[in-house]
Amino acid sequence: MPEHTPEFSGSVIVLVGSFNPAIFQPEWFARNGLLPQGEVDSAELQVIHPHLCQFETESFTFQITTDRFTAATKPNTIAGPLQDLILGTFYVLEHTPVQAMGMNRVLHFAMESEEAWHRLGDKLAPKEPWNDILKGRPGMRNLDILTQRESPKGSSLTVKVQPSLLIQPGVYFEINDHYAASGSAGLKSMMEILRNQWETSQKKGEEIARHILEWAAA
Amino acid sequence: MSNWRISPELSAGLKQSLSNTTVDQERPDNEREFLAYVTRPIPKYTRHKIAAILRPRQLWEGTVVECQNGSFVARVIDRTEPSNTDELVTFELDEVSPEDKKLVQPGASFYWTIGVERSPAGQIQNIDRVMFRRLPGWRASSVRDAEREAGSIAELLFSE
Repeated sequence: MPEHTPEFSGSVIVLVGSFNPAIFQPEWFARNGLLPQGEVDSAELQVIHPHLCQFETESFTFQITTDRFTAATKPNTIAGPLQDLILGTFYVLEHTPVQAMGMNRVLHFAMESEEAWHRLGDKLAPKEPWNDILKGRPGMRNLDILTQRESPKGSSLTVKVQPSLLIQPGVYFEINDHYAASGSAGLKSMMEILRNQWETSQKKGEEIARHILEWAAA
Repeated sequence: MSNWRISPELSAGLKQSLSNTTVDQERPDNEREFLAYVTRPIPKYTRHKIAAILRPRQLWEGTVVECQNGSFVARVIDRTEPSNTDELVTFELDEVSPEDKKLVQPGASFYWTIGVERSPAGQIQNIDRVMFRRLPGWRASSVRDAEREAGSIAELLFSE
C-alpha cells in the first residue's frame, strides 16, 4: 500500500495565558535575535491593536490576543524552527503566566477519488441512523475524537477530521496535543514539554492520520 | 476561501486549526469578535500573494564542528531516517543566507533540508536549504542555577 503523503501540512503552537499583544511586533523578534532582520523587514502586518497582533513573515504566521498566543509554520515547512521560536520567545519573556499549551499538526491529504473520500466519512461516521430520516446524501462534515490521558494530569489529544477546504476530494486532519499547566511554574513546565515532546507529538499526529487513511482504504 | 486575509494555503489550514486548538470553547466573546474581524472578507488588492511551496524530502540537523576559509564542517544527524549514522559534511559558506552567516561558529546548530519547491506558476525545482537555529544564549542566572545544582550533586556524590 503506498504511503499517504500530505499535500499540505503545518504546525501550530497555541499558548493560553496572559499576553500583551502590543509587545509582539515583528521588530521585537528581530531585536531579540529570534527572527532574521530580513524576514522581519518583509513581514506583512495585518492587525496591530492593543488586544490583537497578527502578522505573517516568510516562515511563520502569528496571532496574539490578550489570552492566546498562536504561532504557525507556513505550509510544508519543517516544524523545528517553530519550536525554537517559541522556546526562544518565552525564554526572553520568562515571567509570562501560561495555563495551557496545544501542540498541533494540521494535514491535508488528497483522496484518490470521490468514492474513497465518501468511504472514509462513512466508515468514521456510519450513515445508517441518518438515511431513513434525512433525504439526499448525508455526509460527515466534522468529527472530533478526544482522548484524556492519565499523565501528565490535564493532558489530552484531540483528533479532528473534516473535508479539506484546499483539496477536493481531500481530507483534513488536525491533531491537538493539549497540556494543562499546574501551579505557579506554568510556563516552565509547558516549555519543558515543548522542548522534549515536540518532535514526538508532530510525528504522532502524522501517524494517526496515516493510520486512519489506511484503515479506511482497507 | 479566496477572499480571506491570510494567504490561501495557510488560511485553510490555520483557519480550520484556529477553530479547534486548545480550549476553544472557553474563548471569551470579545476574542470571537476579533477573530471575526481578522477573517472578514477584504478587497482583492490586499490579498497576500501565494508563496512557493516546499515539500521537504529529507531533513538533517547539523552542528558546526569547524570553520574554514569560505566553508565549514558540520556533524549531521539524519532526522528523516534516524537509524542512519551521523556524518561529517563540508558546506560552502555561500550555501548560507547572508543573515545566517554571522551565526556560523563551532557549536552552532542548523537544519539542512532537501526538497522539491513548487513556484506559484507551477515550476518544480530541487532545492536544499541550510537554516541556522536561533536559540537564545544562556542567561547568567540560569548558569548560576546550573552551577548551584551541580555543586549540590557533587556534594552528594563526594561526601562520605
